[in-house]
Amino acid sequence: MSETIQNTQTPTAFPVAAPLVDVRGVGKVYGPKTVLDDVSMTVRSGEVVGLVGPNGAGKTTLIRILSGMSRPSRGEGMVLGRDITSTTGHVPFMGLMVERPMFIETLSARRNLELLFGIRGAADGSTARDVLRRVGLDPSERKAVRTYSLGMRQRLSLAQAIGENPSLVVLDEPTNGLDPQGIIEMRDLVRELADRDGMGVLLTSHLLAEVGAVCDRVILIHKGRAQRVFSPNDADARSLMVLEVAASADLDRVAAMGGLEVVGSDGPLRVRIRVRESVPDAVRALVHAGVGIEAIHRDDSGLERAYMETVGA
Amino acid sequence: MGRTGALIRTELARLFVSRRWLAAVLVWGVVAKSAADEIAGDAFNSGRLAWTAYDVHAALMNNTFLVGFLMLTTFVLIACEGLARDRETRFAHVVLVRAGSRRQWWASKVIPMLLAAIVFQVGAFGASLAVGAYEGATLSRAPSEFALGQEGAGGDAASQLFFTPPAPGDDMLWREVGTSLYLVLGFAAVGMAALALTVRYPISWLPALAVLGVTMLDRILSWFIRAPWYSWVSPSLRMLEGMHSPAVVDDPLPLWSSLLWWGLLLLGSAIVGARTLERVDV
Repeated sequence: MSETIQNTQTPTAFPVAAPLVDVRGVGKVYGPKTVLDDVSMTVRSGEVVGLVGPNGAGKTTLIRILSGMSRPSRGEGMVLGRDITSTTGHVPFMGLMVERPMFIETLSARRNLELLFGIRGAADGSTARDVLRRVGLDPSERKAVRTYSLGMRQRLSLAQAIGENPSLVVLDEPTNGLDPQGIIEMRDLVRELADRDGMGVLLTSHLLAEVGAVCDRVILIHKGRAQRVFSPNDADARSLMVLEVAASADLDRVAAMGGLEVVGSDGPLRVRIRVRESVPDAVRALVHAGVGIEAIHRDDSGLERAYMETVGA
Repeated sequence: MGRTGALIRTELARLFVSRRWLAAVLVWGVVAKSAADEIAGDAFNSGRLAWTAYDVHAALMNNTFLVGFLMLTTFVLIACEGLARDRETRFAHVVLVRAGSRRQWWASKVIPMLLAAIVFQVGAFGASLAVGAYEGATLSRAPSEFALGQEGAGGDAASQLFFTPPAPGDDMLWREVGTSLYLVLGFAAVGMAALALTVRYPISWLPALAVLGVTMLDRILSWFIRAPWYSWVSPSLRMLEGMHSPAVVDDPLPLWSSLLWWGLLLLGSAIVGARTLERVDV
């Protein structure tokens, strides 16, 4: 997935100013069981939004509603201009990657893509080749998809989701079955889809670190409700640093400093600090104050803590 | 090619580029061999009458076990599980998100199923001729001695092996093409009902099980209910060409009633399936 290929397709444009996803109060009830309750959310072009929650939290149900596979029991809203309370129309401009994907098992990956892309008529054979390269699969491979590993299926599923250059890409557990290199490549590609191609991306994953690294906003869903929205890149989250010092006396010096605040301890010689000014200024101040710095880095555990506070409560 | 056409092409690839058709080839061979053996045995016992490969097909198409159990169940197993399987495997999601509407998606399931009904009858026809020829019958299109003088007319329709006697000048090829077309209609109607069933209950093995169960129940009831009216409601009896001939059964069914019966089942199932699909979660 490391290769970068410019998609020359005419973008299947959706008006950029309008939110791609704008839903309010969405709920889903199966008999007596409420699986989704009063979820509101938006996704805009160029934005990566994560849905995080334990198994059975309602993430996949929400994705099924947004992609037109299921009608909500409550709520309203639009996805790419389509009313979510209607199943009569299709969802234009959406790429959808489902969990544990299956294809036409007797055909090659490329043939599968050609058939799928042929439905919208928005992409051709060369697009299938290009997007297979982009996700790290060999477009000249003639093996039937039934011989593919889970990781290869995930890459193929991603290829079918992004190949037609949609305005919105919905990825359900995209890192399932991928090896560490594949996970890193997937993360880079998702960011590229948003930053370079201007797509809106909505994804679910159980890998909190990956979600935190790639998403602009993360919606924590628990027991069918959107409990909290976490923004890994907002100023508050980015001001949190982890500082590891050489001796316990350094901790006293840090505590006495202005311009930063100790917000917690992560070990005998490790603290979490909130930097009130810029990080370079804070580092200079620490050095000037004689603090023996062993290591300092951004605190990426904010999402994990938010998750545990929400789900573990 | 429009969106519906592309959807149909995708479904045709899913349906026909499949090793499941090897099961169909096996079933065609088994049913043709079984029908040929019965024709050969009865022709021999009837005074060594000459028979042709077309007689094999005619006999096959009038055998409730071979048609109702083996062929119909295999057909439904192969051609009517696509919608349920796509939903089980979530392939439906990547297709439906591209489909213009659920009606178009439904059409993309219905039309390949109808084509599969034709292919299934063509396969059975071809196998009958091939096995008949292999067993020593001629491919003459003129009615055979056996066809003109077959026994059993007026007997018990449920266990009747044989078929409407041809007239001496009949062309057996076109006669059997007509029989095959009738069976295409019957298979398509049952297939449509099975497909519509999977809209509400997306379980891939359910259509074949349902058809097998209904056929078994129908056969059991037909053993107990000997009244002529039962043949009006029995799908597996109505499926037989010979049930419309006074030479074969005492109370033949009018052909128009069967065409109407299958036509209504086909059309009704198509409408119910399409309307239900608009409402269900996929």
